[in-house]
Amino acid sequence: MAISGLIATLDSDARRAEDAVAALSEHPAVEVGERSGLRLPLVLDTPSWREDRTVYRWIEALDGVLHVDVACVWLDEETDPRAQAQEATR
Amino acid sequence: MTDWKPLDRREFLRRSAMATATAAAAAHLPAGIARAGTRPTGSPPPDIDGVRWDKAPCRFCGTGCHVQVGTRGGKVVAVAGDEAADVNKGLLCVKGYHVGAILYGKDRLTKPLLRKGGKLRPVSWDEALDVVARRIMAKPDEFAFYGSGQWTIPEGYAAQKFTKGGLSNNHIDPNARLCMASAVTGFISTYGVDEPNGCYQDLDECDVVITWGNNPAEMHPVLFSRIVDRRSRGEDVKLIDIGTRRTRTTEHADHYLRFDPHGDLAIANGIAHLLLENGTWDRDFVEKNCHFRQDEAEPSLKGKPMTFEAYKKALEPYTPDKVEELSGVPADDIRMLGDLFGDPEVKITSLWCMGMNQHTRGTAINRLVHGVHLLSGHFGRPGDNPTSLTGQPSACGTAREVGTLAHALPGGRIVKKKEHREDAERIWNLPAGRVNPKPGHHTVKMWERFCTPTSEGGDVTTLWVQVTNPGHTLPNLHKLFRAKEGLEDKFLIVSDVYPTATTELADLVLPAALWVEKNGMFGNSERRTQQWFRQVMPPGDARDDCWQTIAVARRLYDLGFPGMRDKDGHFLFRVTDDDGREVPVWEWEHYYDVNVDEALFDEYREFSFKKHKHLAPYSEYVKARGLRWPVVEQPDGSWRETGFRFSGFDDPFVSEGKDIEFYHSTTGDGRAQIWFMPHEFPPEMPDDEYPFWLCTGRVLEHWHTGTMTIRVPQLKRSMPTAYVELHRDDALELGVTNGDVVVIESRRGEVEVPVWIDGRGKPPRRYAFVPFFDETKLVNTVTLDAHDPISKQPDYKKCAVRIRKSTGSKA
Repeated sequence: MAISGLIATLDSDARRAEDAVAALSEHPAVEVGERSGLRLPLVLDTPSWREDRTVYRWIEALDGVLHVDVACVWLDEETDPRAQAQEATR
Repeated sequence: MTDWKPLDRREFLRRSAMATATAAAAAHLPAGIARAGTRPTGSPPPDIDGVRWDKAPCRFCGTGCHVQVGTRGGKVVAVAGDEAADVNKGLLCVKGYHVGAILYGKDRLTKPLLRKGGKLRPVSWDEALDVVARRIMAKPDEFAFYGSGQWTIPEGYAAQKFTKGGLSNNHIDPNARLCMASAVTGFISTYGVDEPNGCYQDLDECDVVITWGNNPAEMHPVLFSRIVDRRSRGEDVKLIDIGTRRTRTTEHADHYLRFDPHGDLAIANGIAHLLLENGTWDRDFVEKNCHFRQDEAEPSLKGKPMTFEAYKKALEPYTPDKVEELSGVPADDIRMLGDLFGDPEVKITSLWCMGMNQHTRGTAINRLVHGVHLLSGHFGRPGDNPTSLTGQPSACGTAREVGTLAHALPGGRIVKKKEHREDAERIWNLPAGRVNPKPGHHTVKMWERFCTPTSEGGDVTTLWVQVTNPGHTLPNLHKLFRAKEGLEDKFLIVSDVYPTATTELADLVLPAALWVEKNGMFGNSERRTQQWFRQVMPPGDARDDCWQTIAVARRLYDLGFPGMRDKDGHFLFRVTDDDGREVPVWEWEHYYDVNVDEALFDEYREFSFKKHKHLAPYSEYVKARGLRWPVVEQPDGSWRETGFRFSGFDDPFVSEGKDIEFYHSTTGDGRAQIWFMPHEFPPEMPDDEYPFWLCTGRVLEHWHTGTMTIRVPQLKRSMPTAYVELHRDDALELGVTNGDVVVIESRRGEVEVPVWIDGRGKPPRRYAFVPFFDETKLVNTVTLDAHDPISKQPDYKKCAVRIRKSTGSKA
C-alpha cells in the first residue's frame, strides 16, 4: 500500500487545465481535491510504491500540469527491508 | 443513533493525505484566504496509529526544506512537508518524497571494517579507534581531514577544532571546495564577507529571474515552484535562462540565451558596457556605495583599485557585437539584458549554482554578476538581488560559516591573521600559538599529496573522509584518487553509511549514523540555521560522525597527545552536565547523556559575532523552523532574524539613516567592489582530436553521487543509469541512436555511457552532457582538474572529449 498527497500546478490555459483535471479524475488511483487557484491537491492510493511512482510520472507528464510538488508520503510497509528487497529484485 | 463506524486505516491515511495536500495548496493563496474543511495551515500532521512527528530539514540539497518526520516503532514511516516552514510552506520535491527511505537500504554499513590481508574485515570500535589514533599520533602533521557540506554544523565544528585546535596542521577541507568555493571568493572580494545579502523572499517579489548556468527546475525544484506558483496566480514573472544547454528550466523560460562555455564572462561585461554606454547605470548608488577594482598580476581576493574611467575603458571592447562573437549570444539579446538592467523599475533576481562556480574563472564570473547588480543599482530591495544557491544541505552552515576550509577559522576568520588565531585560541582555551598560521592543503592539493608516494613529496599519509564520496566526485580520478592504490604507507579512513567508490579503496571503514538517526544542525543557502533531534536509532554499530571525531580525540588525549588538551589540561571536547560534572561523551553509551550538539553550537556561537553573522543560542533553533543570521536579541528578549543583509530597512548592523552599508568592506569604508574581469577562454577547448565539449551535472532523481538515492528503489528505477545527452545531428554523424553505448574519452580517461537524444536536456551541436551520480560510470575519470586560481575550485562543466560508438552492445 502506498499513499501520498501531491499538489499539481495547472496550466493557466483554462481548457488545458480542465482537460488535465478530467484526466486525473478518471484515473482510478487518483483522488482529486478542491482547487486553490491553479493548485490542485491530489491523493495517490496504489497497491505498491512501484505503481505510485508510475502514476506520479504520468501526472508529471500530463498536458495541462506544469509542476508537481509533494505534500506527504506514507512509507509504512515499504520501509520493511524485506519489502524493499522484493521491490529491488522486480 | 447513527451508523458511525471507525474509518479503516487506509481511508484514514487517504483523508489525512488529502487534508495535508489541500492545506499545502491553500498555503500559497494570498493571506487571509482559507480553504474550508482543511486543518489550519502550519498545524502538525495528524496523529495516526501512534505515529510521532518531529521536524527536521531535508537531508538533500541546499534549499533547506523542512519536513515533518513520522516515526513509529523506531522507524521512519511517514514524511510530510512542513507547513510551518517558510522555506517550503508544506511542499517537497520528488527526492524529499523518498527521503525517509534513504535510511533503509539493505547494504547499510553497520560494523567498523579494517582492511586485513587485502580484505575489509569487521573489527570492534575499540580496535578501529585505536588504529586511527595511533596513525595520527605517529605523524600528526601528515594527517588530513576531508568532509563536506553534509557535515552538520556541530560535526564540522568538531572536525575543525580537532584539526586546527588539536593537531595544529590545518589540513582540513570540505568537498564544498568542489561546489561553491568560487561563490565564497566572489562574495568576499565584492562585499568583504561571505554569503548572499538576499534570501528566498527575492523569488516572491522579483519581476525577472535570471538563471546563470543554473537549472533550478531540477536541482532546486521547491524554490522553482515559487516562480511557477506566482505565474499560476497570474503574476508576470519573466524568466531568462542563460545556459549552455536546454534544460527543464528552459521549458519555462521567456528567453533562452545559449552561450558558448566561458561566454558568461563576456555577457556580464556586455551588460556593464551597455549600462555605461546608455547612461543607465545607477550613478547615485555607485557613488555612495561602490569602488572599482581589478586583479593584479597575481590574482587575489583584494586586487587593486581602478578608477571609473579605467573601468569604463576596460569595458569598451565588450560591445554587443563583440560579446556575440565571444559568447554566441545574439547581440540583440545582449541589448535586451542591457535594457533590463538599465530599467530601475523592474526587480531582478539572479540565481546561480554550479554553472558559475565550477568554472576555472569562477571567482571572476561571480564578481561580474555581483558587479552588474551593483552598477545598475539592482541591489538591496526584496526581489532585486544576486542570490547564489548551494547544492548541499549545510554548505553554508558548516563549510562556509564554521569554516572547515584549509585556510579558514570559524565565523569568517582565516588562519593567516594573528588576531583571528588569537580569537580561536581564546574561545578554545588553547595556549598561544597552538593554531598554525599556514593554510593547509585545499582539496585538489590534499588528494594530490595523498596519492603521491611519500618519498616524492606526498606529505599526506593518513586521510579521514566523513560524509562525502571523493572516490566518485574528485576530478581527474585516476590522478587524484585511484593512484592511492599500491601506496603501502598511505591509510584511508572513510566514515559513511553505505559502500561507495571511496570505501572501495579504504583501509578502515567506520559506519555512520544518517540524518534523523542523530541530532543535527544545517545552514541553508539563505543563511538559515536549522536544528533537529535524533528520532530513530542508527542500525547496528553505526554511530554519529561527531562522536567518532570526539572518540578519536579522546584516544589521542589518553595516549598523551598534548594538542588534545586545552591550556588548563582539560580534554579539548570537555562537555559538562547541569551540575558542572564532566560527561564522558567519548564513550558511546554516554554520548547522548547530554546534548553534545548544544554544547558545541553554543561554544561555536561565540565565533559568530566578529563578522556580524550573529547566531542565537541553540535553544532558539529548537523552537524555530530555522533562523536567518544575523539573529539579534531584541529588548523584549525575543530573537530577530535578518532577511536582507546590508539593507538599512532590515539589517540591524547598518548605520542609522543609511539605505545600504557594506560594513565589512575590503576597503574599510562601507563600500562594495565592482570588479572588471576580462573574458578568457577555457584552459581546454575542443580541437580536431577532441571535438566535443563535455559538461557534467546532476539529475532530479539523484542527489550528488547517488549514495543515498540509488538505494531507494523508486528513484533507481526512475533513473537507473547515467547517460550522455547528445544533439540529434551529432548522434547521426556518430552512427548512434538512443540506448547505444558510446565511449567518451578525454586526455585523462574514458567512460562508457548510453546515448539519450532529445531527452530531458537538449545540448547544442558538439556538446555532451553526462550526469555524475552513477558509480558504475565514473565520468570524473574524464574531467579536468584545472581550477580557479583564487577559489581553487575545479571546473566540471567543460573539457574537451571525443566520442565513438562502443564495440559493445546496447545498454
